[in-house]
Amino acid sequence: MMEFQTKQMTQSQFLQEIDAILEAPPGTTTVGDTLASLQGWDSMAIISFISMTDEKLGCSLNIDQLISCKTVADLAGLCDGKIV
Amino acid sequence: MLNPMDLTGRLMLVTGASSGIGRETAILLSQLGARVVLVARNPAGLEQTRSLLEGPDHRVEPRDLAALNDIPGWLQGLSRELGAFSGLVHCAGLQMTLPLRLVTVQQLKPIIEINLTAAIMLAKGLRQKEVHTSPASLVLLSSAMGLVGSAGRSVYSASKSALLGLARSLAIELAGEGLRVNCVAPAFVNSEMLNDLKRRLRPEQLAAIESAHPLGIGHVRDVAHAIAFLVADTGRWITGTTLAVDGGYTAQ
Repeated sequence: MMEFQTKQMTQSQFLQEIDAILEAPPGTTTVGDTLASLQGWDSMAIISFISMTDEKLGCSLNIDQLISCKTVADLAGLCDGKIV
Repeated sequence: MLNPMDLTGRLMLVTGASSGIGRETAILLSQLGARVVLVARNPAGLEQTRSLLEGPDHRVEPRDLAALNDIPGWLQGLSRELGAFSGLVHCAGLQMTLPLRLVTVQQLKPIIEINLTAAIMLAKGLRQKEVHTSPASLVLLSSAMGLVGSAGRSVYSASKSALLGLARSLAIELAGEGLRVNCVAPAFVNSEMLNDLKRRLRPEQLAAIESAHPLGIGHVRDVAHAIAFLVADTGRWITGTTLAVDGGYTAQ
């Protein structure tokens, strides 16, 4: 498994991870986007997001937390301050 | 009263014994009279399992099966110390739910290594002379996901499906050495692995999973019963097969 020496990432990296999940070109997703406006933000994307934060940030999120999010900024807010 | 699954005096090894199906299997085998070697990465979890076993002479053996090449030598060392194994149950496994577009080699490698490659190396170790009694039984924990597909589980399905082919070939290859090889394929049971899945799925998705089981979600003890059946003399004439323990999940 990929090891991260410090379990954190920049906002830019976080947005790139979301672009990768959505198979969108890098730079597509912005922190102000609503989740409803993100093309491809479906149940598979949610599972992928939970796996990504698990693996790369050490955050153990659950579906209930994600359902309550409305924006990309809300997603970043779930990550225990690890988006720097 | 006759107990055809009596395992009194027999030595068994269970991987993944620190939780879930592995733990419950170890408990049941001890209740049937076996001495059990408990294997997993988590020493605290293994000690907790040991506290739940019946009878004396069980052994906690913390081990990371990712040290794949060392497995045969390790089994040989254990058997020199403890005696020959009459059964080995490989319950250790990793789960991954991820759409294919995000799968990387780095992510799938440990899934394949622990779920499949370790199974092969455990079989290689078990078949060594004096490591197993004759007869003896190897049970591999596959999954309903090895029999049917599910979106987001391609790598896990591949690893569990591979065990079915492994068991068939090994059953033929090792029959002359007194070894039987079978798989058990559970569907969703109440376990730590299911709890982890629950946090990733919406309530309606979880409801769909439950309704896909005509007999409802299972219990780890249901799977342990099937494993014990195959390990004991009740499985004497069964080899190369897969027992679906799934509440009817794969019957549809």
